[in-house]
Amino acid sequence: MTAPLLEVRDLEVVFRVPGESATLRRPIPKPLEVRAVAGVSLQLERGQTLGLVGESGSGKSTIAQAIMRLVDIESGSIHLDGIDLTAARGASLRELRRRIAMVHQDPFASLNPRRTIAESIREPMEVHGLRRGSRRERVLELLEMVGLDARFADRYPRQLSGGQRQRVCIARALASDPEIVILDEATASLDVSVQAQILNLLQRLQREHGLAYLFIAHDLAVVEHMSDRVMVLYLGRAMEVADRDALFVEAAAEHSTDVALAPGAAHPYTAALLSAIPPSDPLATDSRQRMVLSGDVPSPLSPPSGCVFRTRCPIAIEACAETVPPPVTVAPGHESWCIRVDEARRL
Amino acid sequence: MTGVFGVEGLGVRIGEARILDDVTWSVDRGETLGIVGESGSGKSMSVLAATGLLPAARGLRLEGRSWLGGDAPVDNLLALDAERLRRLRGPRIGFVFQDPATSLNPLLSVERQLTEGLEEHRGMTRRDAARRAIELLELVGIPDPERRLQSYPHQLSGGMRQRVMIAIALSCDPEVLVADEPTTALDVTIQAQILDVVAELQHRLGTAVVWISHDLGVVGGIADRIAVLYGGQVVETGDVRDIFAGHRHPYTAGLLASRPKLGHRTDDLAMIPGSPPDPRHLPSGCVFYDRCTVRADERCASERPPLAQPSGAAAGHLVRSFCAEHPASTSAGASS
Repeated sequence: MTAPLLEVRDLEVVFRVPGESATLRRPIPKPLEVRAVAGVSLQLERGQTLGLVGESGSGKSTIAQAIMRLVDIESGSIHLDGIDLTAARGASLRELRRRIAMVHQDPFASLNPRRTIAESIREPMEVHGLRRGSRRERVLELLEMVGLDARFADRYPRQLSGGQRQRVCIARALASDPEIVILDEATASLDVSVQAQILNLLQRLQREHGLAYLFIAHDLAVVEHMSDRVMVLYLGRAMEVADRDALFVEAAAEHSTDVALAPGAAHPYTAALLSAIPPSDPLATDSRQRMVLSGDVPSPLSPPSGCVFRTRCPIAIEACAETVPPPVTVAPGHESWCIRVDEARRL
Repeated sequence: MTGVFGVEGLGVRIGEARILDDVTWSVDRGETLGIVGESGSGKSMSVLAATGLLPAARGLRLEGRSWLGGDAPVDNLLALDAERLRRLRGPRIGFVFQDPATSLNPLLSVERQLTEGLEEHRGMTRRDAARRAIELLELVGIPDPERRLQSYPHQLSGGMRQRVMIAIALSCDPEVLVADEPTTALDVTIQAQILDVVAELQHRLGTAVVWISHDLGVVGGIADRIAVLYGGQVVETGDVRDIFAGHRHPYTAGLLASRPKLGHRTDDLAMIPGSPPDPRHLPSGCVFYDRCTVRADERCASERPPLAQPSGAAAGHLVRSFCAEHPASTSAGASS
């Protein structure tokens, strides 16, 4: 068995923030720790899409930043093709970074307003010393790949719509010939009609170039559409990971109009997320039990003991407060971090 | 015209740009009207203009009227001066906006922000207003309301802030609640809570609700009637059933088809080509002409279609399209 293209093991990322009572007179208190990612493992295979889904504070974007080496990691390891990313320095780190590209949420903030589109797309090639002498041709080729014609090359970001800018960001991500593209809420700020264009474009590019995607989004319907595997995160921890088909398809087979009628979820949080999605057809008789979680996500400064989801969980018991749940294998490739998996499946 | 709040033939122009054009909608007691559209469609603009909240701008021109019904009808809000409008906003029209972090005053306690309207518009004493404020926080499901009254916005989560906003909006028992993307900035599980709170309160208080959203899914779940805006015009309006099951406008069809649906596996999403129009350069015929893949005949390019009831459509189901008479063909409005 070959190693996965990207393997993250027991990743922890800790942010330190000043304590609350820091004033000039008193000594600076011990910084508070936010464990933004608290021991997450994941694998991404060549040409596949792993969807990361979760609400604010779930750690999904921090995982992406750790993989890009944009934040320091506390412990754990990240391997690209068997090479340890966390130990790499200098030229070898640069080469690893070439192989992983990223597209951010806001296409208005991620392009330099004073550079032409061609300059922005060319930059990764300059950084990595790629295609000397044929960069202009490559820029035009990349523009064509993302569905923009050559006229856009010499325009500025302000002359483009949001959807066009996101196409440019995708073209720039592909400029370094990466094997992995991290898409961090890449369609979240786009209008629905434009989002569909970008999702279709991403899927076509994946088919044509064998790209692997780490697809981060809060919208479960979009994640389902894009992913081969899906990991659900909450307060820096994995709640459930499964092949898309294991999570979503059971209901589709029953020809019901809404999959959430019988989701394959084996974790109460996944079940709640599915239940919170407005039905795609409001006219369909909605026989699924609506499950509205009470309360808010707890502060990451003081997460609950044991299972971090227990304070909002409808089926929590005393034991949930005691230990962090170990992963339970529900089916091959389908794991749930819940000690009451059987009850969770019936939600 | 019956109802508690509405606009008729509302238009907004800024110089050459036509931001809103001949927009008509209304909402009745206990009813929820969903206004749906993408960025720049004019969905927020229509309520801002209707309630006198548009900032003065050079070259701004308003057309048409907005009205309030009920026991003390107001024929045209646009004709009122600023002071009289101010006395309607709050007591008769409540507002909840998208971002509760910026619509609450960070320097004032929850109590002060809740009691301000009660003292100003209802003439309550500070003490009575404070008592009412506790009831209001209970009403929107905030635990431990006495203590929460003393909180400042930064001490509340996003969902709690939005509940406070709803409590403020409802504090003076308005006839209509205008909610402009009130759940867009919230996480999905919190969004579900807020949707429940509003539906519950509407059921209890009989408030009319105008719910503005870019998300047809959210609106479909709570609205009785829907108006779809595109390029500053109402392109289709009708009951939820008309919009979801019997839509006639190619844009509505495209909008419905372009959203991924849970459990419906497709390789490619249907999509609407191009992007929403620039209000300074609207097509001279149908506003959707540039992106439309149906196009009934040559009138589409040159003539503005009227908002009319197509043959065979239900009463109140109005469509602004020359393609509306051929319901079968509108499903092709979105191409792959």
